[in-house]
Amino acid sequence: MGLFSSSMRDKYDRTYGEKELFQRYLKRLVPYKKNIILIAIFMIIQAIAAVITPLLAGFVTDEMIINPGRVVSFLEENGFILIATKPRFVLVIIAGSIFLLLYVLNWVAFSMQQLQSGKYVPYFLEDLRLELFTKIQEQDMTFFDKHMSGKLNSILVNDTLDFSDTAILISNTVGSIIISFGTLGILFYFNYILALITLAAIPILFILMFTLRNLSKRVSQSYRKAIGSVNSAMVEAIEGIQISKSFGQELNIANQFEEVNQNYFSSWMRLTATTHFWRPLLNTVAAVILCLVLYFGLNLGITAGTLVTFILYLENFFQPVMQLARFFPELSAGMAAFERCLSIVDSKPIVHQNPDAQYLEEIKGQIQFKDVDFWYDQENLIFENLNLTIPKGEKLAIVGHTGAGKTSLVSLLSRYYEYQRGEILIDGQSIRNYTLESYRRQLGKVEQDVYLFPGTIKDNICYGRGGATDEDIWRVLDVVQLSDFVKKLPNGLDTHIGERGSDLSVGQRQLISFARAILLNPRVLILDEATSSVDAYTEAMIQEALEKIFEDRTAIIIAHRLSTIVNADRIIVMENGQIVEEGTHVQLLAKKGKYASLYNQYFVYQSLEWQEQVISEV
Amino acid sequence: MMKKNKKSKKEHPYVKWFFVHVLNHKVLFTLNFIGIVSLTYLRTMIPVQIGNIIDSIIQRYFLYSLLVTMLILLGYYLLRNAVEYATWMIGHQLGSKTEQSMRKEFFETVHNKPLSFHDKIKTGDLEALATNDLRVVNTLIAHGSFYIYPFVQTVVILIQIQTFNYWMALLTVPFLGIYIYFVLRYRKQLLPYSKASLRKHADVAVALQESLNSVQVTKAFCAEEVEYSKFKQAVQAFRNNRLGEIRIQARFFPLLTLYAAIGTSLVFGAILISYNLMSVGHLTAVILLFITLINPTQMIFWATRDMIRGFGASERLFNIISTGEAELAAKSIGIDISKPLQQISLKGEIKFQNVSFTYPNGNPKNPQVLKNLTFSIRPNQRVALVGPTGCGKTTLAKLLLRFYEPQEGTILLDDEPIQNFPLEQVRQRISLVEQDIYLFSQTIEENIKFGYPEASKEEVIEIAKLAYAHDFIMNFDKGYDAIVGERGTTLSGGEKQRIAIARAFLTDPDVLILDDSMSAIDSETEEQIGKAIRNILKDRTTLIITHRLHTIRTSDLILVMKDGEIVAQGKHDDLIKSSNDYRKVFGMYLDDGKLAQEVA
Repeated sequence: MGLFSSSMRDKYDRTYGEKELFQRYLKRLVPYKKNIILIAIFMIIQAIAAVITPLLAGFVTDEMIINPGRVVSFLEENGFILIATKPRFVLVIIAGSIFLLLYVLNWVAFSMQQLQSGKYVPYFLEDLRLELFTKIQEQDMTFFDKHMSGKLNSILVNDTLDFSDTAILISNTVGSIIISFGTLGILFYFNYILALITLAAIPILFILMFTLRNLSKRVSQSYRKAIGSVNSAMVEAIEGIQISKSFGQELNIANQFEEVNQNYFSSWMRLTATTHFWRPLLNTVAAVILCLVLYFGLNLGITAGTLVTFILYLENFFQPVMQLARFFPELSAGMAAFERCLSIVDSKPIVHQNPDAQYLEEIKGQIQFKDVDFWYDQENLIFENLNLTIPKGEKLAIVGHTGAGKTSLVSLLSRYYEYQRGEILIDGQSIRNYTLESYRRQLGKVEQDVYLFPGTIKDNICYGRGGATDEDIWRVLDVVQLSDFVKKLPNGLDTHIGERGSDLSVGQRQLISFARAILLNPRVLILDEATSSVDAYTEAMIQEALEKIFEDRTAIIIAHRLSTIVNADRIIVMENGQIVEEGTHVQLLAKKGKYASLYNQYFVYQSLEWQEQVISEV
Repeated sequence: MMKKNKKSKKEHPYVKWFFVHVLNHKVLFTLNFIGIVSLTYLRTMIPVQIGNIIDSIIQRYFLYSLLVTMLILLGYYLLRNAVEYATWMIGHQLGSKTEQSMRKEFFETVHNKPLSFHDKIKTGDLEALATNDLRVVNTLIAHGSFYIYPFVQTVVILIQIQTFNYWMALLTVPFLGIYIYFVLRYRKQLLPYSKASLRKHADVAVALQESLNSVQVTKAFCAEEVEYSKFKQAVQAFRNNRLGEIRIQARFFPLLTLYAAIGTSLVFGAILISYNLMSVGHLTAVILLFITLINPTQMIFWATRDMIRGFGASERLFNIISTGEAELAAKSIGIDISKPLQQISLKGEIKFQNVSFTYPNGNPKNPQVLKNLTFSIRPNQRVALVGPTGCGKTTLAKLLLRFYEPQEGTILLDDEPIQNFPLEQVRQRISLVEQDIYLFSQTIEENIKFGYPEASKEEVIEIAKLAYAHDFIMNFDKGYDAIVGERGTTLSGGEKQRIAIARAFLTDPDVLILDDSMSAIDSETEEQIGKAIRNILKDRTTLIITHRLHTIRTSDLILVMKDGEIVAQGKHDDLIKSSNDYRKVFGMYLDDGKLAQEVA
């Protein structure tokens, strides 16, 4: 069913071999090798302390049993001096003190290890996030068409975090290995039969773990799906709130959501039940081993001290073993996150800056498309051999049906996409010769789909041009006919416009984005349905104002509205990626070709003369 | 369950809210607590058993045979493991149940908030709350239970030790006291950082989302630097907060105290034994008892953080839930919805009487958007609403759907105040097609069926044909099953608008409002859709907000708005002569009142 069942699929451009992933992972750790080595050292100190302390405890126990109560009479008769003359007891006290010191040392090493990991893991994470962000910014629009923003968001926010956890995985593993092997060695030294019993647990444990892992893998897949749909359901419901309200569908949606929510709950419980099952499993194996060791040990006649040692070892032997068993799953989870990060790191933008690109100072504004071929995907050619010259200062209008290639043409000019063949020239030079930034700065683009930032009117208009004065801002507001409106606002330019400008009407949002483009004082102005939600009167006023300040600038205008087109210097008609006709309004009408029929189909409705026909029709 | 030692916290309303949700599951809650106590008891019984065994070895006297003794010990172990797993699962069950019911309440409340609430709040923030924070609440309970263990266990340990030896118990008291003090202090020190961590996490996501949404603008304005520095700020704030957290975590004194207690008790125990005041087995038991405390202590190392974050998340969630009014009566949410759609039928007469409206976002100086509006629309009239950008046309439409309430005046529907109708029904009978089309990322069919989920596929296709959407839909590989927004199903503005129109048609509304919803559709298609509207919705009231001339002048009534007022109304032929404001709608060339032939 319905609303919230959309699945989330992962698709990557390339996959990585395990070896390559691991190598690149190690390479990323190289800058932090000092910290990692230090952490490993602190781990080793903790491991040594953990291995020695049970020995000392066993020693003390045995000593106390061998000399039970004998000290007492000495003490009563001779006081403390006699303790000192009793060398074995002094040894017990010394061993006890070392035991205490080792525990304190253990804590100090633990503390140092925490501090040390604090010195690089957060920075590791930060660097990775910034690197990915920069990479994303370098991408062209092809990339953004392909990757949904939700996916990118989860990579940059969550996957980076998961991956950064693996940064201390290796040094932690070193500690676990030392504890397990050290313990095992000492167990063998004490009593090889008991040690062998202990050792027998390991294969059993690994087999159990392996079975459990396969089970939990399946469960966690269904969990990921469930959490995915619960999250996307939430997001959809929040973003589509106005629609739900205007259709009175809140109850229906809530009921559908309840189903997704319930599904999430049960899959989460299943996941928890399996992933946490290793703990009782481990503890049970450990308990069985301990009881076996005690039973056989006592039959073999070991001392109480050895027994204490064994008990203490078994307390902290299985924990590191288990950590080792979890090393690979954790590593592979980290690597999976890393792989998703790499899918961003390694994607090469198709639109890229030539290494020897020049800084473009200021253009005059002559634009030329020469034999340009372009496609989004190879089967559907958008342009083939497109030729178009726009002289400096021309106001060019582009008309045509939806899908004729109007927006693609200006997108190519803005270098959002890369054309496959031919050349686009600006003042006679290929646009690829210039740095992206200096080139794009020459173009002012206003689009139909307006994006405004949460912030004030001023913030939005100054976007991309920090140093603008209030005077500049008022000037552009005058041009777009918004100054009267802004003057009436209690906070004027500093009025917050809400998220995506939601406090403004759609037309006002278009005007703000228009003002934003004009403030850059571009040499070429591109208007892609820039005033579709603005009334005709305001639009005409803007046109008149623009003509004054942008007299000698080149302008490319895509519009549906007749009055916008009529005043252009030249009109081109596009059809299936080709320019089929060009000329002024009057010339083209006289030609009685494509434009004339377009005009008769669309634009004539907009002229006042058409009146009678319609009324008779209805 | 969450500790009595935090009485001051209970004054916060969100804590109460949190406990109301937790206590909805009284059985689980009680079981969880019983589990914690019995687990602690079982944990401490094992060292006591081992101590007894050691003493038996030394005295060479066993109460039972060795095998039976071992089986008893093993029994304790197995029981402990079983209880541990069960308690753990109960904790998670309780956590998830709470999460589930909080999520449900959050979802329904947020859905039920008026639009003025949604205008103010950042979508990204709401989304972070709905996804991340709710999961954190879950861990608050599951992991927050760990926070209780040390407190219970110290008491049980002390009780056990004093049965062996008063001197040892006396020595233990200061250590356990200091231990508890450090456990509490750890929480206090960690509080500001862990609480802020959710905020910082959300900030990173919001900063990123914003820059992803604005990518095209950023490129056009070469403002990559600006976006980068915004994101960097968020990432650095996140890092600094984490650093603060780590600094506190590195000084984890509870563990040091515990280690010191273990070491000291060995030395002290040795001395006690040498005075014959204690048995070796008891000393072993004491040390092992302390060692059983290591694991819970390591747990609270991170469980404290989870607990703080959980309460932080509850607070954030509660703040959202408790702000603003709900639109529908709370109990109507969640009830059966399988009622037939047409409960009421409107004739479609609309009257505004002296309606004035200001957007309620807290600023008293906000300009009035609608001023003293009075007009009436007769049933089945086709009305065009025209006027310059920002004059209040969309606001007027929103008032009709009761997205907002006017501060003054009355809106009458079929001569009855609009408040007298149930809200859902008003919205079901009045359909609005907006300027900003939002489609859900589900199939096209489901999108069209949104307002009337019971519709059959045939009905959907029929409606889509009327909205001139059928042809382009069939061009997708999957046709009506294509998922909106997926690769290959990117819809143009005009296509989205046609789907939205079909979606509105399907509900068969009594009043249809089109808010400039054909701006991206070419004029010919618009004209055809217009005809369709006239044909199917013949006996419906339609209110059309548009800048398009041909739509305007064929209307039965034209309302001309300017600065929130209706400055003229009538038919095209009259208005074009009498109203300068109306003439302006068609461009400045008609400004002088002449019919400008040169336009054509």
